[in-house]
Amino acid sequence: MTEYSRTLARAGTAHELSVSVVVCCHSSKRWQRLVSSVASLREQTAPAEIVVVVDHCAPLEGRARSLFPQDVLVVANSERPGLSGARNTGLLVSRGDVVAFLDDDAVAEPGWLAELLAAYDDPRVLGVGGHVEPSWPVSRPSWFPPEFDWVIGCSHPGRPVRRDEVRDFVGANMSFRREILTGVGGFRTEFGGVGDQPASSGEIELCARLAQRYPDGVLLYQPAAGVRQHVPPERATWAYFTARCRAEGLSRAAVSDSDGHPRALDTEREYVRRVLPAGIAHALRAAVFERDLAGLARAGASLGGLAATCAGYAAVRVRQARTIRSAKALAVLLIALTLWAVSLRSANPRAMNDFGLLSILPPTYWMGFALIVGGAVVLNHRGNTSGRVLAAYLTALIVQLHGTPAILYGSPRYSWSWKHLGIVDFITRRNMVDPAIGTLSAYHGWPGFFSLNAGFVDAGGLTGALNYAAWAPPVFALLAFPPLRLLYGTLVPDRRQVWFGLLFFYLANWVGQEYFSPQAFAFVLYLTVLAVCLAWLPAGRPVPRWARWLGGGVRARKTLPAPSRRGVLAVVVLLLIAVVSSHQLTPFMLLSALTCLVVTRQIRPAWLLPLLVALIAAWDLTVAEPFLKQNLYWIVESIGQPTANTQSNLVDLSNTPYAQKLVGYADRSLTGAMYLLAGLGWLRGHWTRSPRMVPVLLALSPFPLLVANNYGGEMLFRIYLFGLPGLALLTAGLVYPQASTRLWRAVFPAALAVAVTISLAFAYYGKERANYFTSEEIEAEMWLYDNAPPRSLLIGATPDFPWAFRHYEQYDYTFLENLSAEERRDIAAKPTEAMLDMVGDHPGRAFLILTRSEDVSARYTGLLRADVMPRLRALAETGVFQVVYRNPEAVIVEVKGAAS
Amino acid sequence: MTRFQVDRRRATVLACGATALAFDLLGAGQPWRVLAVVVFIVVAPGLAFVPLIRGLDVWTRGVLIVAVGLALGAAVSEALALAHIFSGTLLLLMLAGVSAVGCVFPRGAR
Repeated sequence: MTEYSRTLARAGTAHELSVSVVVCCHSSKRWQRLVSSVASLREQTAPAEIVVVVDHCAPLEGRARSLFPQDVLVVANSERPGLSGARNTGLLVSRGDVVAFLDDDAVAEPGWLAELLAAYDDPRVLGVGGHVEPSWPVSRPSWFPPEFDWVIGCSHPGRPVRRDEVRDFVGANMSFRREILTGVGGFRTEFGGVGDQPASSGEIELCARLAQRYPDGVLLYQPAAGVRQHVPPERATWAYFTARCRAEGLSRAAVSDSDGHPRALDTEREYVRRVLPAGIAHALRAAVFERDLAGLARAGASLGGLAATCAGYAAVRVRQARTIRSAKALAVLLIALTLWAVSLRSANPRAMNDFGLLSILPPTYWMGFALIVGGAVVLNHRGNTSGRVLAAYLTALIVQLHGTPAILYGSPRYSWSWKHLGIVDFITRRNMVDPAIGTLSAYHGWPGFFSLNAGFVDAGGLTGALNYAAWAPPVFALLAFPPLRLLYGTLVPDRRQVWFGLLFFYLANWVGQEYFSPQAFAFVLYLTVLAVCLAWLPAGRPVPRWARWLGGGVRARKTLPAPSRRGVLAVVVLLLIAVVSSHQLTPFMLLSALTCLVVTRQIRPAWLLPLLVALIAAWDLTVAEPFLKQNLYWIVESIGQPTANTQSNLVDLSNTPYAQKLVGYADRSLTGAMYLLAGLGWLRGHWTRSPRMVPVLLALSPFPLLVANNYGGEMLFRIYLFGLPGLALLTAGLVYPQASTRLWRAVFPAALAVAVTISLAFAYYGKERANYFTSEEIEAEMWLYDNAPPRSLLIGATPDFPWAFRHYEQYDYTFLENLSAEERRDIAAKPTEAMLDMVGDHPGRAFLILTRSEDVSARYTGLLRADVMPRLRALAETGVFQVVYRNPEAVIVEVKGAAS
Repeated sequence: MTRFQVDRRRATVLACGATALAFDLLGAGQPWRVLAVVVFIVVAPGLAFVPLIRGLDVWTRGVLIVAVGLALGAAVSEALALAHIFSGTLLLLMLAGVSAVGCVFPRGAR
């Protein structure tokens, strides 16, 4: 049972509730007003306890004690001087179930309390406020705009005209359930004015706190519960008007800056956007059409009041060191981005050697990157840096890391991106997918990502996904950021650990699966499902005894009401459907992670697991069935072969160039280091008695998949990728939480970040020579598809060239790297015969495509002997077969076989 | 959620849908057409449904709005493709219909 539901269980209906009214006063000058106020309370139709709190004014206190009747309780403010302290004193001494507050210069209508109490019939109601009407000494000054009645502590025209939910109340007329108010600690004494000082926001800050503490609760505005607020002549002056507006700006800045009030200014924004312009327009209409010159004054006063309020707000913001620190941090970020932009001008991707982008990026690039990573580490270590600034640093890191290839190349990196472009092209041309197609049938069996992109292309009027696919890596990396932030924020309470974990996730993600691909799309949904389940569907039960050694479970958080929980579950089910229908592997990774979380009682309901199994089975046995039938042999063969599955994932580095050996060692050592650091982070958690179970589960949950499949030689990478959210957070646990914010203590996290960044540079950028495609290579492929007739046989050394699969339903394909080891050896010995054998009796024409990228890819994978590509090129040079297209980067040869 | 916010949500969904459909049917120029289509598909369906779930924080709502848009877009588009009737306009129309369902939910349902 939550605190709120316990409170509600104790709360009675309006008829059973008793009420106390607290009137705070501070000056003998307002004695007559106070007397009128108390008299109005004694005439209420609903009986109430009346408490008068005197705010540090002995003469007034003595006078009140002697002159007020016995049934009026007079007490002195026992807290800090000021309205908030006095209200807290009243709360402390009063006894009613509901505590109402009335200003000492306000007079309540006879039915005021009855109207307030009637609204408490709804158990969700935390507090009820009413309308405050100004009572001018003579008449309202003609220049005083009604929209600024809040200046004199009254309701303005932007308030609801009927009973409705509001964000906050006018302090002169409000009430709360006692238990709710005491539960949040009453009013904060740093807010609220002292004496006649023009300040406010005590009640606004309180209402914001209530809304945060009780998200299901309601603050109700009941206009029928009216009071009349006396407006003394000194408050009807321009000087008071501007001073009060400025004070309001100061107070609102202070309230919005309080922790945990992210939407503290929503009502003000609505007021400025809607209420104020309507008031100014009304005043101007009066001036123009009714010749009411005071309308001009009211419009001017509205603008002046707005300016004074904004000036007060800005004054606080400028004074705040945090703002200045943020400005400095953003200036550093701007320098870093400038260095990056400058560095790109001198980088030529055609000049890459076997170290990939590392060989062409100038020092300015790395200076910019170091500023971003170092800045993020230091700012995070300080502990008080705004989340927006840290988010800006991470965004810059993502854009620089993943956006650089997009800018330099001008076309998508990775040959697989081009393969995926071919699928999108298929769907837009044929208005369908064909799961029974022979070539690339896996993509037709799980088409969600491709059909969505076909939607973007077709409805967006693009010629193809090529228009934007190059930018997929930064976009997918950025899309992963919000769910990751939600996940980490749910799992650990330490803010520095959260942000350091986020930084490490991106620095250690060398796998490069965020390109234009279904796995990148499904990975974002995978993170979202995990984050939402852990944040909003917690099991709320203790960790089972057998799992306690792993650490504590997900921390307690507020519970959603049943309808909202059902809503979240509906969204999760929709996401599961999208994951299941978009990618082969991700549903199994998700199933493994959710299973771990359910059996350790971290999330519920448990029926999510059978539902996911049913969805996978239903999809795989219907839409994806043709693919499974075609590939059943190797899928079954690799089940229960963890050693073989592991070995098939590791490229034999002995046949690769020296630079690629280094790159291979870098990615393997980075992977190993992350598991090591994560393990140490988990041990440190045990040492500091704050071990976390869920990150461990997330890091280890992908491993069972290694027993099941080698996933075309990629399973190890995928296991690392899907475990990385847990690994990065555990690694952050090696450094945080810690008490110190001293700069020298940032040396350790900075050293970790530097080491990981260096490994990332090699592992992520080191293979780019094979992933980059020149415009000549793209032109060659365009020529091929324009000239090769349908049913031609297209032969490549590898499929690593652009547009390897375009209009692919019309062609047949074969690649040398897919041949057996013996057949590959034959190619080097007798290339002409091997080519003729490959063509065999194929009925159509046959073309051999040889590009620079195939050359590089064959050398890096080591699947083809070093002399294979030169010998194939020699075929073209010696004229054994006919060269039909040639440019500096690509050659296309027509192979005439027996059928020709 | 106030009445004004409810109306703003409905107005945003409606405006996104109307703009995307109009740009698609009228063949508007780039980049506005693709921008309108992407914003509609990614944001509108989520915006129609996710704010109906009470008690979520702003961060979660943002995450879910985008995720629901992507998931619904993928699910609807692949259903069209598997039925051999895929077209961008049909996808927009179906997503607009789904979003409209979210927009007609009364306040009490929240």
